[in-house]
Amino acid sequence: MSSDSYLQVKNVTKEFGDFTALRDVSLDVEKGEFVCFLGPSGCGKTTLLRAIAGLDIQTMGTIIQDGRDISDLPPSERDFGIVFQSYALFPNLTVANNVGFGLIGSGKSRAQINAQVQALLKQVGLPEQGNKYPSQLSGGQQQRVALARALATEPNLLLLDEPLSALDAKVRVHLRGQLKELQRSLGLTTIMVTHDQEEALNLADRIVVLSQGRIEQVGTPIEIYAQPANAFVADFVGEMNFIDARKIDNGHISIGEIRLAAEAAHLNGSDRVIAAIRPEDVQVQSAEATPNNFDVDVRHIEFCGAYLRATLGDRRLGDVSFRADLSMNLVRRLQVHQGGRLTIAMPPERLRVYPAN
Amino acid sequence: MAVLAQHDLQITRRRVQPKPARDEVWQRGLIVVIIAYLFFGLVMPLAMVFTKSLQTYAFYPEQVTIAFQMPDGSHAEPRSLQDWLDDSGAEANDGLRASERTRIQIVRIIPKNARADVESFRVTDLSADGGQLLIDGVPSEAGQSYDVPRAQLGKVQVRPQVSYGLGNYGYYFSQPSLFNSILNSFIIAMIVVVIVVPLAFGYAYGIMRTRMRGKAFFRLAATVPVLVPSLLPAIGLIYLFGNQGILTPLLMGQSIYGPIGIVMASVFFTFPHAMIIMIVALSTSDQRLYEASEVLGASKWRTFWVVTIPGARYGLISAAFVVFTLVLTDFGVPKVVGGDFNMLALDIYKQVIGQQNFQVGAVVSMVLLVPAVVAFAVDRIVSRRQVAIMSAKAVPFQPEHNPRLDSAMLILCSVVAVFILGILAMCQFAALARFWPYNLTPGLSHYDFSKVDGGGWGAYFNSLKLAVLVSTIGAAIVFLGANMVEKARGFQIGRTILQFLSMMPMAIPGMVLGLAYIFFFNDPANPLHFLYGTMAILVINTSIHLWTVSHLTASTALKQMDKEFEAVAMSLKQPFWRMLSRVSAPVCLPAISEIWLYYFVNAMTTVSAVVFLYSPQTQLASIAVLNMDDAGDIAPAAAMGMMIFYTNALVRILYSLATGRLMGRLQAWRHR
Amino acid sequence: MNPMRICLAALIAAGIAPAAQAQQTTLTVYTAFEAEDLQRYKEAFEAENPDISIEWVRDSTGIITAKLLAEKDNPVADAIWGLAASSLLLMKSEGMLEPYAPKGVEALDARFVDTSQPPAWIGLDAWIAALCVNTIELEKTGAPVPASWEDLTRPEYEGMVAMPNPASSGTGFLDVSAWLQMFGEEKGWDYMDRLHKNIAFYTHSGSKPCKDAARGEVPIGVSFAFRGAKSISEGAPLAVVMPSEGSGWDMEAAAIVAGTDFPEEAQRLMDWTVSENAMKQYNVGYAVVATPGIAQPVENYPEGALDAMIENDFEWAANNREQILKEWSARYDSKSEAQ
Repeated sequence: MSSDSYLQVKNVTKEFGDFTALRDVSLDVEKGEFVCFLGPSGCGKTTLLRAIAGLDIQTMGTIIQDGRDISDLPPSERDFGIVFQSYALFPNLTVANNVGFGLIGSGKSRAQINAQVQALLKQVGLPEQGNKYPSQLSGGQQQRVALARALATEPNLLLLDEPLSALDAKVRVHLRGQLKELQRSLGLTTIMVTHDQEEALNLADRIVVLSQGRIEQVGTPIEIYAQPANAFVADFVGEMNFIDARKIDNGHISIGEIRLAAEAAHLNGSDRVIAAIRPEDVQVQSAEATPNNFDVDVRHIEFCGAYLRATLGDRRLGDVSFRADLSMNLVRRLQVHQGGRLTIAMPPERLRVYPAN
Repeated sequence: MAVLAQHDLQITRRRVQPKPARDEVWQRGLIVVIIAYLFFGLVMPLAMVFTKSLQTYAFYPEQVTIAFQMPDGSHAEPRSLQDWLDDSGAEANDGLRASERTRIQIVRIIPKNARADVESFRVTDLSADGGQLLIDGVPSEAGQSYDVPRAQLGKVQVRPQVSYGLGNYGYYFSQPSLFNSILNSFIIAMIVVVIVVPLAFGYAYGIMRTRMRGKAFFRLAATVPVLVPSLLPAIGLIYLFGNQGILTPLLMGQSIYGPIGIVMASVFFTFPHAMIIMIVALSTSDQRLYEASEVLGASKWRTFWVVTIPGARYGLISAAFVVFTLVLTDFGVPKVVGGDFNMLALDIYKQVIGQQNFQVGAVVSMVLLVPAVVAFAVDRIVSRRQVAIMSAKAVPFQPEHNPRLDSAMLILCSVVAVFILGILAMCQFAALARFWPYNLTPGLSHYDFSKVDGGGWGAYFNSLKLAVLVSTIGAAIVFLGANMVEKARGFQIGRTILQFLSMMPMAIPGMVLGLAYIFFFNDPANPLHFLYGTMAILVINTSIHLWTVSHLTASTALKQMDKEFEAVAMSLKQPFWRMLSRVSAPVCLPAISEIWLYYFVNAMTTVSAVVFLYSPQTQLASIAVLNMDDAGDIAPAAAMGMMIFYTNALVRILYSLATGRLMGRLQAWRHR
Repeated sequence: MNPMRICLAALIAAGIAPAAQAQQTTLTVYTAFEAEDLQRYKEAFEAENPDISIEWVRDSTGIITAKLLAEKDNPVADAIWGLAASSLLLMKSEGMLEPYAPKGVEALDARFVDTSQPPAWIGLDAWIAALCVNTIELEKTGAPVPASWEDLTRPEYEGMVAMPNPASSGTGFLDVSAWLQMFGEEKGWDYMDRLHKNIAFYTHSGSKPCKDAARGEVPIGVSFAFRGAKSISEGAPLAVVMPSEGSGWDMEAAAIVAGTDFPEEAQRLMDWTVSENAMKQYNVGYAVVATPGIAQPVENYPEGALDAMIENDFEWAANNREQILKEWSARYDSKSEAQ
């Protein structure tokens, strides 16, 4: 871990009574980075965010921001802005007063505050809405007001707690783009909590996948997607076939009677393993020319709009079946149909092997 | 390097002690101050009641000796008073218990003929702490002898000494008349519950589940009793059903003084409480259940029993316990129409005000505390369940036209409304009659309160002052306290204690709290003694007596606010008080003004706690009603009671107008 | 000047200002006078003593007595003005009174002055037990107007009589003590046993039975003559009957409470309470006042009231008060209205 990173989380543990929400979590965030905490509900991602904010201070461990140990400081003495899923806009204050709330008592004149509030509202694309009350705005507009309010005090760290979850799909995608653009233009170090992998993959410079209070993997979206460190990450991010297999040697595994090349050196000794491959990585086109090819039955097909999901299996594989996503082009060309026969390949570099549990 | 790594490890393994923010010092200070307010205004006084209930007084005649000095100057052998008592076969501590103020004169112990030719007496206090004797009003000192001339012996008295034990409880439960009042109280309370709860259910059913006419009127009429002290319906009943009452023949020879009067007046003053609970219970039912029941082919009657009653069951239980406790702890009604029918709450008053027997008063208080605490616990459990029902996503019930049901309910509601308004109208009529029942020409002579007990118009203005002070100060402190409990960061211990103390007052009957205040504040050794007899003590007492309901109202409103508001404010570096003044208080303004009104109305009508605490400078209108009735001036009592009613009604109307207009302006943000 | 000193100066100024302005002294006076007389007495006294104002604490005799005893160690009252002599005797034996001979005490009937020198208390006027009979209500029942205490025990008056509870009411106590003195202890209690059968209720205050009779709530109220006279003047259909056996009576008396902060003002109050002017004020409601020759007839006051007064042994009554009340409570408390 580099010690010059902007935010360092060291061995943080958080207990709520008998329940341990975070176990010995360590993490570095670089300046200007957009980091997403991703995981199922109850994994500890919000707890970690609230620990960084000082809202629920960790039981043990250290948090250092910009070289300053903030582990035991109250939120008011830390440097961050925060946006919640509920927006938490003050209902009795106008939009302008909400945005300007953090500027009261800052020593600025009323005119200065007004100007700054106007600038912020413009920045989030709501220049004309200052005199309205929050209840008169749409959800997406409210979220932008919350963002402007969080930015008003010019914090060096922006914390977002599921900021887009309460919005409908289209607004969500639109705001996502705006958010990323704003973050990039301000160069603002940002941590966002989300349970939506698509959102994380789309926005983050780096993703931190959490489960049961532990970090499962930290990496760029591509790393997380292409090289999930373990079965949990593989399962949680994107679609994945998990197939019972046996390790033959460090370079080979077998599924039923079929022998496949795969990197298995990281697994010591154990005979039973799990092979994992994403449905879109199952290769059909020019499969014969690819290693690890074999013939399968098309047991079931399911039309999913842009692609077709086929459930494949073969007597030689034993009792297993797996899914493959085939583009409609391919389906038409190869005339894939239920009950037909197909040659597929599992490219060794796409086939990952995890220990059996 | 290795050492360093280990050092590093130790640091990270240590538990983090969060540092408080700068404004949190103020928050914690405020929590501590409010806890102290409740501690000295509630916990300490109650502890005193408990202690007093364990204090017993007894004479120790063996600790006092008396020696005769004969005319020749010789002294006879000293004998203890116990010896003298043994001679006569009398006992100092006989069946009649000694209280703090009981005295025995020495001349009653030593027969006249035994001391016929004695010149003077030497009395000696042998006790270790002294004070066994009062010589001409002065307590004796330990081991000291006093020579008393013959003519002065009458001024020497034996004083009882205090000890601690369960003696008072034994005495209390062995007194048939005192024990009877427990029975009486329970029976009356049960009867009132059996009458009021179904009646209130029917009334609320009419309002919530039918399409009868005049719902708004009936809703208003049923809440009228909240605006008057419980003494007033009792006075109204005397005019209606007393020996000269206009409806007396309806009683068919029975007397209104006693159980009948108590039950009728209790029905009057408990009805609104039960009805409000039933309205809430019936407003939560789900239309879909009724549709399902209809689809399944159930009859209306069966639907009523299978859907309506179970849906309202928590309301029914809650109403039953609330009514039961109200009747049990009220003393105004039995005081006025009870006749010789004794009730528990009355016993406290009798023992303390009438007989100055504080110890037994304390015992009755402890006895009264038991059902009140039980009822409180049940109410809390039930209301938690009720909330669970409410939070379900229900479809509001839409009553259908049902002419027979509608007119039946109209009749029921009209009967109740006539009963309530009739009693009030009777009070007003009697207050204006020149000389009931012989001269009914109207006049205002009974409004000249200077000729009767109770403190005159001054008492009325004192009440107004109290109501304004209590409502303003009370609403402010309660809201501040609730805000700290709900919103403060950290200081879990303080917030938990404050929450617990805030729930306590509801379980404490007013009489008990009033008595507790006498014990605690009327002790010259208490530094807070200076409060005794002032308006301040009435404000403190009333604000705490009515604390819980206000606290719950404030808490509910605060809970409805987004729980992240405080987090946002902290991230924006704003202190708690700015959050409170700019957001929390304005958003909760409806709840705050509701608390204000609740405090005001109840401060005007309260009798039970303040009856022990008022002084000549702080006489109150509600107490004046009691004292006027006591002195037989029942027409002025009715007049004063109606003044309380008009004041409360006016304030309520002003409140409605204010909440309608002002809120409309200030709370524009509520509307889209 | 440092802030502390400014503060102190302000405090001193605040303390001095009102005192220098009027030199007004407020005396807290405990009383059992009839409520309607309080204002008149207060005004009359303050007219002659503008620098003293009276703060009344009023309740019925028993309550005020109990209150004074309760506050014995820490008295609130500066003086007592208008409390039964039998109660003041009790205070005297507790050493709670400051003896003082008011100016002009010589003019008083000797029976009205405490025997100690100087006297611990001074009697002002006397009130006499009497029956208030509502003639309209009694006529409805067909029963005759009772003429004696003995008449009240007759079966036709069952449930028709109200009387004050002696534990709380001075009038109630003087009734009981008079019966015990007139009839002797044994016959006295026997009389009360029989009377108890006819009692509708025992009231908290001594005037309430008469007020209840005036309203027709009960036909007969055992009360005192002056209350009856007042109710008749207000228009009540009452007859005031002096029972033929004789009536108990008590004095309303005044005294200084030992340890008062205002001994001089309290003495001036005592001086005034025995003045001729004061006696005239008492005479508005009382037929018998302490200074002979002043009393004017009171409107509607029953004739023969003075002759009905029994020989009353106050000392005996005071010494036996506790015993009597305990016995009474044990026998009859069940019909007492809440005190």
